[in-house]
Amino acid sequence: MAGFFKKSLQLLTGSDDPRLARFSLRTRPTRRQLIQQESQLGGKLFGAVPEGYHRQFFNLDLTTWVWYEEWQDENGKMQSSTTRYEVHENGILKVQDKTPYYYIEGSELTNLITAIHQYYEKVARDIYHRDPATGKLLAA
Amino acid sequence: MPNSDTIIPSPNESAPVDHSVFDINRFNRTPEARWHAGRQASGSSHTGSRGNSEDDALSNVYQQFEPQQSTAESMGLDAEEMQQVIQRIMQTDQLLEWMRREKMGGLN
Repeated sequence: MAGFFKKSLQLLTGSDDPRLARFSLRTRPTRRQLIQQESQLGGKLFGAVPEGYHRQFFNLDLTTWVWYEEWQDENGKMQSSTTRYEVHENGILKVQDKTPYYYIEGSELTNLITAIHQYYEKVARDIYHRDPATGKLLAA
Repeated sequence: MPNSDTIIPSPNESAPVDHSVFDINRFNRTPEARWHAGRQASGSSHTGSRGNSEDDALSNVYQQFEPQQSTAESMGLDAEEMQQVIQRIMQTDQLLEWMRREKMGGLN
């Protein structure tokens, strides 16, 4: 019986690992799962992450981009930093804890615009399998 | 190490900055364009999901931090060009949202 179940699972999901099967059988990802996938790709746009660091960069909603970093300090304690970039009609506001908000400018603004462009291109192709320029589904 | 002075680094692939995040004109006759048009027509704005009182509060906070020099001036863009940059970023955000919804099965 166990063998039959295992074989059926393998046929259905391509895997005989029940944990993977449970995930694979869910054909429609949640919004949270999609953003999680996007954030992994986004974190890689800026080069190699030092050992012990975890970085995410992602679009949270229609006007918010998030830059998140997590690392272990010299005492082995986990530290993190979250930066929100809010898109407003008159500019892009940078929001960090314990820091005055301000509209970004100069190289930071240029880098963010480039990052948004590359993020869009990458997630459109790699996660949504769409042509970034037309929005049409890419051929399998 | 990240701190309050953290500045977003330059992305890996140092492609020249293209202020047109994508060419919106190419979407004009697509379902995506209709989705955009629908959002515009429904009056959805970037603060649409927030309550009025929260909007007011946020607005008050932000006004305290108005920069001396506008973002547009700092990038060498005039106000109209800066508006175009901001609009295209917003359109990109809308497209990402649209792709997510499509992937989730068209759920709103």
